[in-house]
Formats: sequence, C-alpha cells, structure tokens
Amino acid sequence: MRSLLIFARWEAVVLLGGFLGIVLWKMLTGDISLSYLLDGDIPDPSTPGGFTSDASAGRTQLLVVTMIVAGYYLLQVIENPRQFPQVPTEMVAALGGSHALYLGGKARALLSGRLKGLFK
Amino acid sequence: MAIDGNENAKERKFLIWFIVLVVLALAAAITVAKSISGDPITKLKLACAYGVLVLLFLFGVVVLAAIASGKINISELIEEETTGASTSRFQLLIFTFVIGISFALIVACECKFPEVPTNVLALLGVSASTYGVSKGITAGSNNGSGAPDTPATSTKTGTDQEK
Repeated sequence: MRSLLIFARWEAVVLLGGFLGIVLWKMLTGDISLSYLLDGDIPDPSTPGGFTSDASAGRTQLLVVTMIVAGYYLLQVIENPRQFPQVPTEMVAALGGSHALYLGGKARALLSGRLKGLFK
Repeated sequence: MAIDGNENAKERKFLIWFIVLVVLALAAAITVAKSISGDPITKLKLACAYGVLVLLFLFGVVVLAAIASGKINISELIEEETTGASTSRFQLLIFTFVIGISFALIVACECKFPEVPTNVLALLGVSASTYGVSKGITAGSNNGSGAPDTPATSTKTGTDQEK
C-alpha cells in the first residue's frame, strides 16, 4: 500500500510539475506572449478604434499584489505542508481591493463612452 | 473527400494510441497482481489501483507531450481575442498553479483529503471573479463602441486612465 502512495505522489509531482514547466518554458521562449501585459486602454477619439494604450498603474499594482499574495501563500505551504495555510483576512481584503481597483479602471476606460451615450 | 480521409486517419491514430495506453495499464495491473502476496481481494484492489494510476499517468504524459510539441496549442493561454496578454487571465493562472501545487503537496504529506479554509476559497473566488467580470466588461465594450479587447496599438501618450 505504501508503494502505491509513493507512486501516486510522484505521478502528481511529474504531471503538475510538467505542466508548470511547459507553461514557464513557453513564456520564456515567447510562445506564450506576455506583451501588453501591463498596458491598459485609453479612450482616444482621434484613432480609428477610439482607443490607444499605455502603461497602466491598475494592471501593475494588480500584478504586484498577486505576486506578493501568491508568494506568501506558497511559502506558508512549503513551511507546513500538512494543512492549507490560514491566509489573514486583511490579505484577502487587500487582494479584493486591488482587483476592484483594476476592474474599476478597466470599466471606466472601456465603458465610459457607452454610459455617457445612455444618459444623453 | 481529402478532409474526410484525414479525419478518419486521425481517429484511427487516436484509437490505436488509446488501446496502447489501456493495454499498458492492464499490463501494469497484471504485473502488480502477480508480484504481490496476500488474499485475492487485496490483490484485486491493488491491481485496480495501480492500473488506474498508470492509465491516468499515461493520459497525462500524452497531453503534456502534445502541449510540448505544439499539437495542443496553448500560445494564446493568457491572451484575449486580439493581440495582447490579459492581466486577469495571468493572475488566475498564477493562483490556479499555486493552489493546485499546495493541494498536491498537502495530499502527498497527509494522505487524506484536506480541509479547505474559507479564506483560501475566498482567494480563489476573488481571482476567478475578477477574470469573469473582466470578460464581461470587455464583451460589454465590444458590443457598444467597438473598442479593442486588449491594447492593439501602443502609442505612449504619457497619460493613464487609471491614474
């Protein structure tokens, strides 16, 4: 029975690690493109599409907060791999706030024209 | 006609691969059943468990090999419909990997299904909801103004809509 558990453990490690490795490798080689990851849309009536793009503070803060929370979580699991870590409520709230900020900025940029049209 | 022939060849190839994997899993199960001692019920249980594990592993390896060789295309994994990576997809990918890896680690250490705290569910919920809402906003903007899904042109204007 013990060898079955060891086999199942290694199977999970190989498959999950393999998928993670392939995704990382493809990101590094450029097969999975990360270009424009931190660029947001800006309404610009002078362009044909009505939008241009520029570096976005909302996207950048979302990425930083995501990395911090994910790193903290992973470190806690590596420290004590016997149970899921207790993530502080403040941290979840901070993550929620960060995501709300990103979504608010995106909604404002993309939907403001439509909302103005509705209220005219 | 040529397309039909191509499809048939693909189906035949898939069927052959499927049979090969099932036969390999059965061979593993029979080998286990022959090599261990004990009562027949225990032997049968262990043989079935090893057979299913080997089959799952082989399916996983085939999928991984197809992804690595490019037969399964994941190049647009974090992209929206037009060119440009999506932050909401990227953060969902990060959280999915982190929680998936920790789940596998905990199951491997404890050998039982772990209790999932509410905060962890909230973490994944926030991440997945952001992706969903982001898709909704993009779809809403596309229906109305014809705005791009993600940045299509990069003209550095020095301003930022989220500042």
